[in-house]
Amino acid sequence: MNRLEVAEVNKTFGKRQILNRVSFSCKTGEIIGLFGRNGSGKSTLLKGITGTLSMDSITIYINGENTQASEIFPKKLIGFLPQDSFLPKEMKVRDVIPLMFPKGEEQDKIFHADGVAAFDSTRVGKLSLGELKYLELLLLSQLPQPFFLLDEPLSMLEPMYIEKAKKLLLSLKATKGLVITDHYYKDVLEIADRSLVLKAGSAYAVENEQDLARHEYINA
Amino acid sequence: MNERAFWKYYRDFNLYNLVFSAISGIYFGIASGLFIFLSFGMLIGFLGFRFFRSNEYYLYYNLGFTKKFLIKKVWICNLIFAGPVFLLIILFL
Repeated sequence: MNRLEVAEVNKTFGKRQILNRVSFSCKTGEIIGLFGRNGSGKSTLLKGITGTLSMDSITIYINGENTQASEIFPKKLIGFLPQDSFLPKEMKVRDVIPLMFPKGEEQDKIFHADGVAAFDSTRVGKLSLGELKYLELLLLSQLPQPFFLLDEPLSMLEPMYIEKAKKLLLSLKATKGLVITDHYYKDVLEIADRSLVLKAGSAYAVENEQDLARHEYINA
Repeated sequence: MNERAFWKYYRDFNLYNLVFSAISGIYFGIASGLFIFLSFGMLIGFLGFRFFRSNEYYLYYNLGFTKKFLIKKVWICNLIFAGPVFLLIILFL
């Protein structure tokens, strides 16, 4: 079992402290939901962990070993799904899959995944948002990283793809630890084992919609 | 290392570099064009990729690449491919 611990995350933009001593942990078999209003620092936190955005301070332990954020990607410790697509728009799906996975058996798992045959000859730029996010999740799911940070994997998806994505995320849980931030709080609460809400720079544990309302993320 | 992914980055990065260097080559001569391809054109390639394909860096990050490694390797490959041609032109033309 792998364990990710993130502690003492501080980030200031100008005079505004976005993240103030934020800490959380995640282990294999867990889905952590991360909520927060727009501008609360959810994406900033995820980018800070992966080293794509510098933090005022951040401490990361992976399996008890102190790890620099700059080591996260080169050592393939954490995978990241950004809000906007990371796939080349001009490429066809059937060309993107071997681009990421040179081995045939890994390609087969994606090509034969539920629903992929319907759009494998389509260019990435022509996919619907649901197809695109689902494809990105499928691609990430075959990567070796033990943890994934997913920035809005469900937002704007049609219900059919939300269900497919949730099913995929739950199946991923068996071998990975996932941190999901999304405004589709009902769906995230449904699949998350633990959840946090970011408010005024700090992270608070939440269990249900009442807690989210108490922290002014949703209306009471 | 995923070679296929690297060469995809190499082509996309150098597209901007190549266009700029080719135009420079037409105006200032082939040696200048090649020199620009190996120097200032790298900056154009970097800025072009960052402006038009910024989010694709996450594809490469997820495959274990860093931005620094990618750019360094592109430059080394360019040096291997275009460097000898540049030297030959300088020496014999």
